[in-house]
Amino acid sequence: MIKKKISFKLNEQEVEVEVETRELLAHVIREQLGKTGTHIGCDTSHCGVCTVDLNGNSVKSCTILAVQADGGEVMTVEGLATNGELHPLQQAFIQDHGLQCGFCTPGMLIRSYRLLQENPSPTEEEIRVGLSGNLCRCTGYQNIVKAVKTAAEKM
Amino acid sequence: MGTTAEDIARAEKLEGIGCSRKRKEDPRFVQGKGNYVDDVKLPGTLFADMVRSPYAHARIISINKKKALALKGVHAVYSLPMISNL
Amino acid sequence: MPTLAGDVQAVLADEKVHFQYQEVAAVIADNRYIAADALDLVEVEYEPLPVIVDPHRSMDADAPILREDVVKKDKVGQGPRKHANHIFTWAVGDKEGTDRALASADVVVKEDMLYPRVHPSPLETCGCVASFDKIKGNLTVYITSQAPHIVRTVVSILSGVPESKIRIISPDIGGGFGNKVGVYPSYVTAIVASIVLGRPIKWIEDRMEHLSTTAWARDYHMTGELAADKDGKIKALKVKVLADHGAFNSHAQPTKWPAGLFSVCTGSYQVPVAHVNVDGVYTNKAPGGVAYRCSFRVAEAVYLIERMMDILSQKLGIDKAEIRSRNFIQAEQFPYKTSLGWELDSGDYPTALKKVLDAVDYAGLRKEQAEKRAQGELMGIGLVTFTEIVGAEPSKACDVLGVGMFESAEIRVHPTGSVMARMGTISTGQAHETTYAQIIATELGLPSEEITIEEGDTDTAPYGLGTYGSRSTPVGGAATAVAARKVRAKAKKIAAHLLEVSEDDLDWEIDRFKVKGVPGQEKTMKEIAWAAYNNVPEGMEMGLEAVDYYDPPNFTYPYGVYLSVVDIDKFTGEVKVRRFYALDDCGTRINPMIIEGQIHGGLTEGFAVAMGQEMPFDEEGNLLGNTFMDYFIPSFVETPQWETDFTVTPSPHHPLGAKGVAESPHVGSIPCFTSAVVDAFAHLGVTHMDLPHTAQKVWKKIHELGLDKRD
Repeated sequence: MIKKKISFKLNEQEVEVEVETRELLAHVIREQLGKTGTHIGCDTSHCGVCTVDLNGNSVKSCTILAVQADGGEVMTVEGLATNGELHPLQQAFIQDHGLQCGFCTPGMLIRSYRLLQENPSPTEEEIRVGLSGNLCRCTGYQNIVKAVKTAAEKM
Repeated sequence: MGTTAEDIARAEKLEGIGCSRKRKEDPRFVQGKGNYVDDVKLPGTLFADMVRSPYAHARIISINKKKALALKGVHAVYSLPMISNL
Repeated sequence: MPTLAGDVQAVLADEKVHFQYQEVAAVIADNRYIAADALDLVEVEYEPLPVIVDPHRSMDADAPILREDVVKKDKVGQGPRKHANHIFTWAVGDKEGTDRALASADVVVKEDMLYPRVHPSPLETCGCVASFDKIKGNLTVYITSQAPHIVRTVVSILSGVPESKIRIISPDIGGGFGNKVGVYPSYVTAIVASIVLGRPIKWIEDRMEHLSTTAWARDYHMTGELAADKDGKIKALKVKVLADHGAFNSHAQPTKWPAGLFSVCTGSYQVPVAHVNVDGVYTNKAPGGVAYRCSFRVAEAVYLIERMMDILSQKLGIDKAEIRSRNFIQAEQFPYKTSLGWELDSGDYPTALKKVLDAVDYAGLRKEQAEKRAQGELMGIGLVTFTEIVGAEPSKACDVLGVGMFESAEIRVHPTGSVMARMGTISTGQAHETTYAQIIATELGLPSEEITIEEGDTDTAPYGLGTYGSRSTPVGGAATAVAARKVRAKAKKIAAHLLEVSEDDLDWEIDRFKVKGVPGQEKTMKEIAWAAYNNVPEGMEMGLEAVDYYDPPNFTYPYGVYLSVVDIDKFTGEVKVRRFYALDDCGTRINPMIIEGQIHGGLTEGFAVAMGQEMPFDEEGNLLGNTFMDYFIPSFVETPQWETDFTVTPSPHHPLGAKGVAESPHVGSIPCFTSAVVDAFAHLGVTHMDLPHTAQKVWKKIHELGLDKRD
């Protein structure tokens, strides 16, 4: 298999890894770089539990190759808190009971983060449409919408 | 039971039955620090994958593992002994 | 390998494959990419055989024999069998009495209905990491299991490794919903490979494998007959079921209950006589039939009776709320023994119904509907008043492989008053670490913040049967309360000793024992905890801890009243849920925030089942649609807004009065959606429409009725 050395910023830290060209970004982040907050759920880019931020866009890391991140900037759920202080979205998800089993939560948070960058004060409908690429089986979404609203107000 | 304001405050501090207490689990989940099965990493781990039938009902005539076993990085191919001919 | 239902299931296919995607061989490789490459290099030659997809054909005289390995057995765990593809017949109730009542009743309504095959599909698929230490002879398995202790017992029986050398760890689990109760062939393969190779083996399913092979639910082909007098008072209920169990009988029911608790199908109503007959058959589909977010076969039971109540209401022209009222078991009749043998513990159905009808202005909705109908628009109002049976529990009724379905808790109070507690259950998102601590906090007067809950590791947790069938609060919560009370009883003795009074002179108050009538003479639980390790009464052993294995006297029976309003687009068949109002009574509420979250989630899963989920097979037995491209998981956009409400009718036999809640919204909402969709067509004589209510199916009905003509 062809291997290639790639480097990118992961949560503001420069990382360098040797990957097979066919390796998925999700696997490299999880297995080589040890950031297991990003999950894999469906393999067809429907569920969004693998969502990470790549160069200012939400991407599904189970459907893009690690080599595509070469030279880029990646942010995962592990990069949300700063100096031990939880991001307002993280606080709001706890406050408004926006998670249960926690499996979709990292993808949900990182997508919400980008949504609020794109639209700092979204309406309920804009939140629902903006997060519709992320599935959750536990919460019924209602409290996630509430949490994103809460965070938007605080940010 | 005590019913003074002080008693009520004391009971509330316990965060017992009836309290909409925030979840203890959440801080780890919102920071990506959950520990699910696929997050478990033990040294020397090998990966298993399954050969699955394309048919809903069929007799297995033969299973040939030779090529698979010859692939670099493959440690074993298992099937039931009686049909693992060739 | 043995199944929980008493059948045997192939770990790897033995001579024949019986369903598409069945495990034929396993590849072990350095990583998942190489393993995937190697799969393509394993060459398997097959001779295709005739396939049975339709369970109605399983017992035809000329049907191909599916399970040659059990063809000579007259029993496959639960006999007797009447055909090579027959698994069991299970009947309960008074057949002759029911037939007599049906023959002499003023009205009898009859309906065939299919509860289709659906899949729980948690976002985390199944997987495990098996690690056998060849030197110590110890086996450790990290596994997505809702029942780790049962897994340990099964693995020990299969492998011959003593249970004391097997450690099963259920770490965080990304949702279970009944899918992660069973022991799957790939788990066993990974364990065997680890024992043979002496290396840790990881197996993680992809979504297609998950949807195609792990436990699905339902596939119940039901026929209901409900008899009543002209005023709508029920006289009898008769139910016949054909259950498609797939290729192996490995549904996860309590061992002696091949149709689970289906006979709770008399619901919230006074049904004088009833009879149920269930036949299970093999087909060439993946095995399953598990309790998906419900107690064993209770979703099916609730669907059946709630549909039949609606159909009876239509037949008699009595409003669906009114006909339910006329048949309710009344509050003063509890505990109420049903004609099929269950003892409903408590309830106040009329109060719950009234609360909901008032909250939504039911009369106003009916008026609006009449106006809409006059204009040719389709608006439906759904209503259910259901009762669940949960907490697979009393060991006299339920066991798994002979192990009684008790639950356990172990509580240790440290000298400084902090607590470590371990349970035999396992959270799959329900937040046990939070709620069990609240129970202990109230029982012991110690702050929740200082109470640590651990579960899921069989090396440390007491033996328990796990979390499914809403067992955690009804059984695990009860064990926790009782263990805490044992601790408090010892604490009281220590307090009496410290205060130099008799135990009878002490009153418990929030977090301390007080001497009656002597203000200031008191010992807090924290002080008692300290004393427990240095100053106990003579003859008492040191320490402050207790264990309880709770075997409850009965199940619990949570209930709810749900009302939904839908508007249907005449030209597309799209069903829009305008309103969904859910009132649940789960007895004592431990954490209202978490309860509401559970209800939102259960309603959403119910919405998915009702509105879009199905697992269709073609005639060759190919599963058509085993990814999230085809299998409907509602997103933020489709999911309706939920309105929740509650009443509190404690369970009289549960130490806390709690009944369990997470499954009710799933079980109850599905028939409520059907009720609403059918109601939109009720004035046109439609009595039933099978799940799921996809736009395509609903449009077909519209078209059949000629309602989609443009002016």
